[in-house]
Amino acid sequence: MRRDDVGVAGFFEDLPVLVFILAGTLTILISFVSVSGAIQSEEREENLGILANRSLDLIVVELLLDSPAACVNICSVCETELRNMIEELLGGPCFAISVVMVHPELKWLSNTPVPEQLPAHACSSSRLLNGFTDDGRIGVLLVRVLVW
Amino acid sequence: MDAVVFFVIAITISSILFFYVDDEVFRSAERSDDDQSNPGAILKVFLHSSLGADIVLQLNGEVRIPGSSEIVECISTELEALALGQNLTDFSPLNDRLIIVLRSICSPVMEPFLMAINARGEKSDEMFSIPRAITESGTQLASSTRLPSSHSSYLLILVLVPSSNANPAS
Repeated sequence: MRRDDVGVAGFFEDLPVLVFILAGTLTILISFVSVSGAIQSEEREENLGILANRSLDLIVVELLLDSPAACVNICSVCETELRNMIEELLGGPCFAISVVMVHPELKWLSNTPVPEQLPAHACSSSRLLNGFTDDGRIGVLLVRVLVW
Repeated sequence: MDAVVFFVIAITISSILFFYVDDEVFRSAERSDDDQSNPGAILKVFLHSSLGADIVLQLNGEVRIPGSSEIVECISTELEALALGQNLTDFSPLNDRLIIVLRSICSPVMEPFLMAINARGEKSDEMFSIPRAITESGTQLASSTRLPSSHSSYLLILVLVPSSNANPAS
């Protein structure tokens, strides 16, 4: 080891080190931010899924209320009643319900409008039910709830 | 050198984080609660619904099945007749109707296949498979149920294959 003034030190010599450290720090920060955002949005969608399921269960119970054979009377499907019931559960008009007969013929029995500007987070749930048609046949109903 | 090591560790940590998020998103996509892709729910409503349209079969004579007949009864009758030696082709109009009903109930992105098996003891014979035998590989969803008639040994199996995997009828 010897002592002299030949050694070089200064701001520009430290720049490569600084670049590596800044790049590493930025990478960690960006990944933390995007991961926490994804986890939050995942939790929100999970909550929406639970709400959609609960709303759907309520609708199915209401539809089957007077049907001991677990078969809905298609004429009795009343859109207003279903809307009011779900609005009470969710505390606002942030949902859409559709009841469609898929067999023996395709027929919309109830359909609440969906906003033109769909929200970023929405979750839907659906159930199949048997239902009596006017002419005594047993059809299949698809009940779907979309919550946002 | 220390800075490079720090950079490599940072890249490793962010890769692990992104892998974790991808996995979570994939699992949430699998959680969809849609009865139209649930073979158990489809089979349940399918068996208790009506045929929907009148069917005429040419058995020993002309047999007319009204559209209000319950599907489970029609399938039971068909299986009993097949067990007694009737040809499967004699029931083609009924089987075509069953597939039409299944397609109207299940999700448009799924192709339904219905199989009936006579399971007596350790032996099991395939009675029918409509619209054809399943040859598709890959993801399939299935559910089975025993026909609810007394002393029934018939097992119905509904298999859903994504339409993108289903080959055209051969």
